[in-house]
Amino acid sequence: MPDARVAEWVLAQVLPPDRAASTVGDWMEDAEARGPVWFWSCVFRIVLSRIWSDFAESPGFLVGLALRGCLYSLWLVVGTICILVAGAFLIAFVAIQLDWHPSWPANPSAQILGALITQVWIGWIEFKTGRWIAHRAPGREFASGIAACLAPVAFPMASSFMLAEIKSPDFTPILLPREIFLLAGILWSRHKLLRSIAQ
Amino acid sequence: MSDTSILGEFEHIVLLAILRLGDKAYGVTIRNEISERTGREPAPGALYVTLDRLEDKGLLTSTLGDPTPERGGRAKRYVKVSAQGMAALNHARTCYLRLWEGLQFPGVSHA
Repeated sequence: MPDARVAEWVLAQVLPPDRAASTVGDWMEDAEARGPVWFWSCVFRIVLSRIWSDFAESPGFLVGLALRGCLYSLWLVVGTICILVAGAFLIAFVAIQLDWHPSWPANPSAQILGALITQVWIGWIEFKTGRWIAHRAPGREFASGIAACLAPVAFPMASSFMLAEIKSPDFTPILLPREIFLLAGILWSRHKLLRSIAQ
Repeated sequence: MSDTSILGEFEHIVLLAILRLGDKAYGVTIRNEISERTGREPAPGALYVTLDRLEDKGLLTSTLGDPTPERGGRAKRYVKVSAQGMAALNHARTCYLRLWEGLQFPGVSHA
């Protein structure tokens, strides 16, 4: 017997919770005869159908939201860079006052630390962007998240491109792609929305 | 007749299946009815997305039944054709009848 709770959670990402529950209930009636492959194929086909249907109903809104999401993410990048530059100036000012000469260590562990800080920074920006997008498309969070993942392909000034351009010369590859954090932000917002509906 | 009441082919089939089932119309019975009557099994995604769309258009109404153990305690979502849905079906039937009127195919009997 397939795990119906997982299936219900997956469906609740694209459907209202009561519809997700009744739909999974329908498939459970047939699951013993038809098997788990049929059950899970039903789950993923309905998710794809819903995302496709959201795109077909309001393509302009979703593309516009995805582009606004890219601008929001860019704004976060510029904002954090400004804060970092201001911090660097402050450190330089203090160093001059104290006649102190700090230097960034060149050993491998420092490079790994740099990569991790970059990863956390990109993750935070994309997670925030995912939440920002999800709040503006209640009920269509997942479709808007997919649109936001695809938007940089059509909009090369988007955040990931900018982030790639501003990396240091001895850049260590980023561990995880930005889309994972963006979709995590979307799922987080959807989870909070479903919890508020349940209460 | 508004544009939203113009039925697609699958919407037409789903509405007719719901009418035939009366009070017993929910996902599983609708799929079985369509499968029995038309000989084609509707894709689950297509059926549920169509039910949602018909409800959004006001052609269907839905109510939740009681939870049952074989469904893991999940309620059935029963659907009914609304007055607007009946009007859309009637309009579609009239259009089809007008189109069929006077057509003859060799080898096909017209009872």
